[in-house]
Amino acid sequence: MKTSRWMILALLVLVGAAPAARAAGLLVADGGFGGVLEIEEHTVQVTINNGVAVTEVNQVFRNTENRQVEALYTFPVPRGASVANFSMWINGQEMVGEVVEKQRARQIYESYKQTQKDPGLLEQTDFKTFEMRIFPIAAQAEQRVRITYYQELDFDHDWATYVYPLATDTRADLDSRTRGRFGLNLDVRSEVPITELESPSHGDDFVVVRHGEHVAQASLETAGGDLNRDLVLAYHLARPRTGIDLIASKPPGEDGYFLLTLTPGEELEGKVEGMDYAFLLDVSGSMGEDGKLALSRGSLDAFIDELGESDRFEVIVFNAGPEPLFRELRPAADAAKTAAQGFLGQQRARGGTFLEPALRGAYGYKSPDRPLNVVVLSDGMTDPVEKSVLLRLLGERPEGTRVFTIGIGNEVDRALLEQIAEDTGGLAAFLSRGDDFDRQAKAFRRKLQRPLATNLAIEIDGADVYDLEPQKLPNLFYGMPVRVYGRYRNAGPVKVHIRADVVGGQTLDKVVDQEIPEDDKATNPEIERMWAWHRVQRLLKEADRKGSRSGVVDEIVRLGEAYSIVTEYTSFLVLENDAEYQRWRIARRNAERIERDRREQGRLRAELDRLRGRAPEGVGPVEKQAKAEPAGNPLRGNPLTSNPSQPSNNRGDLDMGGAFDPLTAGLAAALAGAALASRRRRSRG
Amino acid sequence: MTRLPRAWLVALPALLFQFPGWAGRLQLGPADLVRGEPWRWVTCHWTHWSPDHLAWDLGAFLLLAAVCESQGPRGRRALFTAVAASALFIPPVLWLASPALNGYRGLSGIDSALFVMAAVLVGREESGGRRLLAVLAVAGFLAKAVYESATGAALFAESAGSFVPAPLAHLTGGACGLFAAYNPPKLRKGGFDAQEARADG
Repeated sequence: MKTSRWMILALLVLVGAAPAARAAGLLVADGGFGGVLEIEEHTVQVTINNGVAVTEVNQVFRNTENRQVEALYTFPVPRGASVANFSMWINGQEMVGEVVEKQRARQIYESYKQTQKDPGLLEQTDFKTFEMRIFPIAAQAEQRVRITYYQELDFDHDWATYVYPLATDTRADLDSRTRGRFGLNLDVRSEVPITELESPSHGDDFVVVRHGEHVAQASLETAGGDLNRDLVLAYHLARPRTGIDLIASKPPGEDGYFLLTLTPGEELEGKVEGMDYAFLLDVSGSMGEDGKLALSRGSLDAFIDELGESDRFEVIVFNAGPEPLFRELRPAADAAKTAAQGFLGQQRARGGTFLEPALRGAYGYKSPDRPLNVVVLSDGMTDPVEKSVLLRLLGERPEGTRVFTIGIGNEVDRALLEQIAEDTGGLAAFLSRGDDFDRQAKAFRRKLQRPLATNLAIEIDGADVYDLEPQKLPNLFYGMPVRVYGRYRNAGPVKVHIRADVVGGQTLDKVVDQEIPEDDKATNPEIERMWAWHRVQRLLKEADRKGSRSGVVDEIVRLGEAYSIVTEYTSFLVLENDAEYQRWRIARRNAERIERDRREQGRLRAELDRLRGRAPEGVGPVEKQAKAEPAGNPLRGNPLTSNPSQPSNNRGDLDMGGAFDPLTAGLAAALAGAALASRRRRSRG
Repeated sequence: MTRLPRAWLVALPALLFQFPGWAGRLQLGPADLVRGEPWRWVTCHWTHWSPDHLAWDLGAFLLLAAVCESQGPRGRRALFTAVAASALFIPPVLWLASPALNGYRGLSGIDSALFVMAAVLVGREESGGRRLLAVLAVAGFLAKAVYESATGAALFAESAGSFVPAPLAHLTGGACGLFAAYNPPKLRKGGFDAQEARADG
């Protein structure tokens, strides 16, 4: 007992003594009109299942004032993420939110504020920002919330990168700090063996453990470490050079969902020599924040260093206006590379962002006999006026010109960068401060050096497949996976027919036998939401190209409510109890979905726990700082899904129950038969 | 009171507690117990995760309860002891031994108690075949628990639903069943035993 007291006391002292650490998002009271709230605890559980990451953020806020307040928490949407759940604890009970049409959700929330009840609201305010409102938080009271989001990872053939954004400022005049514990645990599950897991951003702070060939874990815990930079984790797969992976999920009573991942390899092995590059670097004022300019410079240096002697390049920096380095394309010899590095080193972040003149200037470098790659590094491009100009300008590019976009930091308009890349046959990549520049540069360069395959078409025969997403497939780059989501009516063998035109005159034409597995327990539930999320994104893109969203809003609201996805037209609403949901005729779809998902997660979590329990035995897995080593046995069973651990409050997420099965029931029946026979014999006796 | 209705009296709540709103408030959750909801300690056994889960657990309960009741007054007393002991002991064992526990539901822990008890009662009879059957039944029960502990998966995935099997609950239940088989309660004259004797008549 004494020991426990001392431990608790020591813990309190440690927490109290820990310097405040910044965290993702900003927290203010009374909707931004004053008041102080603190983030007492911030824990994150990430589960990556075959390239789809489920991130669950648990936070505890405390109202440090002696009055009741409304909390407003603003946080950025991570790259390409889809928010899939919002829960808050009311009277000690977790209340799972429901997705409701945005205006209606806001009206319901406001109506509760009048009656001092406990609503919560989570809205998407723009392409990258969420706002969560909670009311009321009593004086000195604490409030626990949980947010879950899904995202596809950035892949480069055999390296996948996950970023948890911490280097963010959604409102520059406010600060956000967590005074208690910060912890992040990441579990990776992959059908292709994992050979390495590391953190380029926080190498030694993470403990990495391998649990067999297909499961790895990384964890970090701190009570005041340096959280000013993004947490970046990368893992390496021992995959064959080319691969098709297919996983499925089938909810009871519905058609199933599948995810087909195609990663091109040897089909694009040829090398394209002698390319021209125009590098456009944003040096506007915003690039001075969070070390974004240094990040861009480091990345661009690494990229230029990778250029071959037959390549030519130019560097143009731009803010209010463009400034070229050479005013011509120079062969990538050592002298030119050194000059470029010196030029980049002199740059200071200042002024506004005007990409248009820089882009027009870059087009001027196009030679008739060589392809031109325009590579834009920027953190912004979020101005709506500039956006429309930019999209028009892309249509005016000379033939043989591709535009590649590299987004810097977490504020960048990911959808826009991806659209630019998609429309020009280029690629979009995203960099965080914690990334490994050299690796990223090599990967990007490798993609540009290999032949590109265009007009990609994937047909799936069998299984009664329908509603594929995306409907228009992107170009195939070496090592860049293309993901296709879809629905199916019948599980079973399918033939995947892949066709594409490889630059250089060749044709890629392959038929691959695959199987959509029987899965009546929805073991990969994240596929369902990602399918719906891609559908929403496609509808939005198509509507934006037409210039009007009015025709797609109803369908987006329907998809948002049905699949529990927050969009610009749907929000998460948390009410006090089930009766309140009934009163507003809000179906508990998300509660049912979450309950189903968590049961599956619990089962898989137990499998992980079992593997962890085995760790000290035999030859592996071997625990090691920063880098993992291959060891152990493959995991049997289904892929992992989101893994909502909550290490902070002694409450796990394992749902348990008895499994009285046919074997035991058979033995019980035999006992019953024997007992009945005995009874009859006794009766006769 | 006939025998089958007595088993139904215990089993009936399992049917009643299948409404989603009820089940969530009655399942075992350590945090809920700490928060001051002690009823979950006992009520968790009568809630289930799915209709399949309920069907298997309830079917097994009725079958095994019938076996116990068929063994006369001693069997009925043992049935009472096994249900009470397993209902009380399984939750704390799970709580202490499973830090990741979020929720526990199901009659299977109590079923396990009845299963072991039924095997012992059948095995006591003067018959080599019945003894062999009892030994096989207990061995099968232990093998299943060992398999579930080792793999974290149910032996028959189709019947297990998508929650995690709880072999510790089954083993605890089995231990309670063993205890009950050898230590049926001795009630005062004219009480339970006398009533049972009259009912057997």
